[in-house]
Amino acid sequence: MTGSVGQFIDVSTAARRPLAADELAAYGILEQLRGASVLDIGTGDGRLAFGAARAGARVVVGVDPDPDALRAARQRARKERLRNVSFRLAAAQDLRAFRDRFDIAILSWTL
Amino acid sequence: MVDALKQARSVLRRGGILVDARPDSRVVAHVEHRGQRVATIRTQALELRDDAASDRAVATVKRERLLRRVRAGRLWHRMPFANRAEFDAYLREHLRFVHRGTWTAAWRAHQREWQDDPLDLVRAIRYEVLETVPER
Repeated sequence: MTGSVGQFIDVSTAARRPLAADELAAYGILEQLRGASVLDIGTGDGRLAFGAARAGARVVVGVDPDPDALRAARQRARKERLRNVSFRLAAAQDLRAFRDRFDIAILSWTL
Repeated sequence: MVDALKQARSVLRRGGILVDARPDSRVVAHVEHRGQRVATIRTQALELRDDAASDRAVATVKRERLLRRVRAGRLWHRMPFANRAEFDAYLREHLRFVHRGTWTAAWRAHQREWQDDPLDLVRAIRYEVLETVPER
């Protein structure tokens, strides 16, 4: 751990969660995201999934067991015309059925 | 939780990475007013137990050599509130935090004067970047 000297990040006040770009940058994975396939487990409204797509991920799949959250995420993907982002209804314990393999899996505030 | 981590690992390519990030309940969240700490907010006991279980799950997959740590760190999540009333409303609905903060003597002495001032809740987020370990 870095100890008590950390990094302050801004928040998106609507969701009271960090901005996805700031959170992904803090994890030090921005470079790895470029061209990567990403699985966002517990994606909720897709906050980090969209962040990963904007950071240059080739394909992003968000999974969440909440259909309402996924509906909102899909609407946002359509609105923002992000064709490399998709969402599936699944819990973190349902991944074995997935045939795809990913470069990066994110469990943000999920475990 | 161990199962969730193992399943997450199972969908990663060889050399793929997994990011585990979550609130760090080992660090007590605090409230700032004009840059000064004016309250501490503890985490609910049930959440502390869940966090400990998550820690054990991550330790298990590392011990089983399914994943290994690449790096870990902490970031600070700062949440702004317009005033004390807005903060209290947030805390009342919050599932992780106890619903009453421990306010400093300075705050209590000035709370009428300061109650309409903006406040920041500052909480720690811990993260760990893990890499798949090739199976032998």
